[in-house]
Amino acid sequence: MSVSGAAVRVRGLRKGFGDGDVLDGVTLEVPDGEITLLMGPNGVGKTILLSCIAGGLHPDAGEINVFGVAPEEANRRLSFMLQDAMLVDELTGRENIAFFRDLHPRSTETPDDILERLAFDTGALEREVGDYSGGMKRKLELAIALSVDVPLYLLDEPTAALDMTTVERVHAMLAERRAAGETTLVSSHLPADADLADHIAVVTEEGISATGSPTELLETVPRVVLAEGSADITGAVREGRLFEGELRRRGFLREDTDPEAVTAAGQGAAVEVREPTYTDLFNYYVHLETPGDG
Amino acid sequence: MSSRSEFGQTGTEGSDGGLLGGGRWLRQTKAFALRNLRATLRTKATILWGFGFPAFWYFVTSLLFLPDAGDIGPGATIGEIKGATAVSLGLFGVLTVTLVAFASGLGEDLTAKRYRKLRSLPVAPSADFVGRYLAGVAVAAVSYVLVLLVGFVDGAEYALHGPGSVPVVTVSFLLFSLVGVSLAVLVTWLVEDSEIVVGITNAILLVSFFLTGYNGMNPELLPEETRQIVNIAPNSLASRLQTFHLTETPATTPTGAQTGGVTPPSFPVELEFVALLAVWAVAFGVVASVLMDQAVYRGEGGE
Repeated sequence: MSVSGAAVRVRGLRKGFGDGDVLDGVTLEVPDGEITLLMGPNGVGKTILLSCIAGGLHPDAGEINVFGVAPEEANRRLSFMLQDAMLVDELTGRENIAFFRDLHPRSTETPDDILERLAFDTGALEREVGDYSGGMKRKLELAIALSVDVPLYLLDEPTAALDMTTVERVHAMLAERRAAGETTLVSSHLPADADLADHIAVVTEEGISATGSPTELLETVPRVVLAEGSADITGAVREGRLFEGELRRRGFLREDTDPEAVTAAGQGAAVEVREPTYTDLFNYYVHLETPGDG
Repeated sequence: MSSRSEFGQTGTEGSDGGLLGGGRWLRQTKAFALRNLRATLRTKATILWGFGFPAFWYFVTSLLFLPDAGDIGPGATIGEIKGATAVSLGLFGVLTVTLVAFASGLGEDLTAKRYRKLRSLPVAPSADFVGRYLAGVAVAAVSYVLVLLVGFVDGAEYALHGPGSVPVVTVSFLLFSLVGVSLAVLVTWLVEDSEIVVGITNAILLVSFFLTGYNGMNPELLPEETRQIVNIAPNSLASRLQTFHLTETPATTPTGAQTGGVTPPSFPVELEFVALLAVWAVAFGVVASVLMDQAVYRGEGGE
C-alpha cells in the first residue's frame, strides 16, 4: 500500500528483545484522516509496532515517520492507548485521569463525557482501579487516550474485553473523529473491528500479509466451505486446512473445485458454500496467505 | 477536535525538558509527585516497612537494649540517649522509604511496561525524577516524624543545638533523601525486576546500617582505624548531623553506656560536613538524573 497523504510511514522496521525479532522488516503506511486496523492474532507484535510508532520503543532498524518527523518529535501530535500498561491500581480512576491530563499539553476535560458514552459508571472513578474489571480498565484507558486533542490516535486493542454494544459505541466515536479529519491506527484481534476500518493491515508472525480496504481484501478471500456433522470436506478446501467453529468446521474452497459438487457430496450432512466474512478474512490472511506466498 | 492546520504548521518539537515551559514542567512534576505519593501511601508494604518497622525497631531497642536510667553515667540522661536512638532509627526509616519504597515504585513501572506509554508523551525526564523525589521526601518525613514521636512518647528528649540547627536539619534531611532516591534509580536501572529490586535495596539498607555502626551511633563497634567512616558515609553522616542538631549531644549510647559513646570520632559539627553530604547528594543526583534521561526515556528502560 502506497499512500500519498500518509500520517505514518514505516519502512523496514525491525525490533527484537534478545530472544529474536518480534518485528522483522515491517513496512506500513497509515493514510491521513482515516482509520487503519492492524488485524492479527495475539503475540505477533501489534503492540510493539504501535509502541514504536508512538515513540515508546525504539526500532533496531528501519525508519518511522509520523507527520514527516521521528516519533519522538511528534509526541505532542499523537495520543497512545497502551492496553494494561497505563493505569496504576492503587490510584482511583479520577487520579489516573488527572495524572495523564497533566502530562500532555493537548489534554482536554472530556474523559467523563467519553466514559458516559461508553456506559461507564462515572461514580466508579472514585474507586481504586485495582477493583475494576478488565472492561472498566479498557474504557478508562480509552477515555484517557481520546481525551487528548491530537490529529493521530494509536489505540492498542481498545475493544478487547468489551461487550458488543460498547464495541459499537467505540466504533461510533472513532468514526466521528474520522469525520473531523483525525487519523486512527488501531490494533485488534476481533474481526468485528473490521467494520470500523477504512484500511486493514493483517499482521502475522511473518510480517504484514495483506493491506487494503475491507472490501478489497474480502474480494481476494476464497469462498468458504462449511460443514456440520460427519461430512468430510478436507479435499475441497485449500491446503486441507479446516478451522473449527462452535458448530461447524470451515475451510477455503479450492480454486479448481465446483461449489455445487461440494454441497452435493455432503450426502445428507449439512455442507454449505458461502461468501467469506471478516472472520474468514482473518483466518485466511493469518493462517494461509503469508507474505512469502506473494 | 484538533485543528489540522494548526498541527500542520507545527515545527519540530523536542521531548526534552529544555523545550518545556516552566509552568508545564511544574505541572508534570506535580503529576508525578502526587501519583507516587498516593500510590506509595496506599501500598501495604510501605506502611509496614516504611512506617511500622522503624517505629517498632525503636520500641524494641528502647525496651530491650537501652540501659536503665540508673546505669547511665553523669554525662548523659536516658532521655538524651532515647532521643539519639530515635534520630538514628528515624533516619533508617528515611532511607527505607527513599531507597526501598522508591525503587519498588520505579521498578514496578518498568516491569509493567508503563514507560512505553510515558515515553510516548512529551514528558521531561527531570519532572519525572523530581516528582518522585518530592513524593519520597514527603513520605520519608512522615516516617521520620513518626519515629521521633514514638520516641517522645517513650521519654526521648530533643533540643535544637542552636539557631543554625533548623536549616542544617532540614537541608541534611533533603540531601540524604536525594541520596536514597538516587541510589534507588541506580539499583533499579541495574536490576529492573521490581521484586529483585526490593531485595537488593533492603540488603543495601541493612548492610549500610550495620557497617556504619548503627548509622554512626555506635562507632566503637567498628575497627578503630575505620571509625572515621561514620563521618563520611552518607547514612551515618546524616544521622550524626541530625543527632547533633536535634538532641543534647549524648555522652553515651546504648552500647556506649558501658564502653564508650558516639565519639570518637568527634561529631561532624562543621559546615564542611554538610557540604560533604551535599557532594554525596549531588553526585548521586546527577547520576540518577542522567540515568532517567538517557536510560529510561531516551533508552528503553524496562525492556
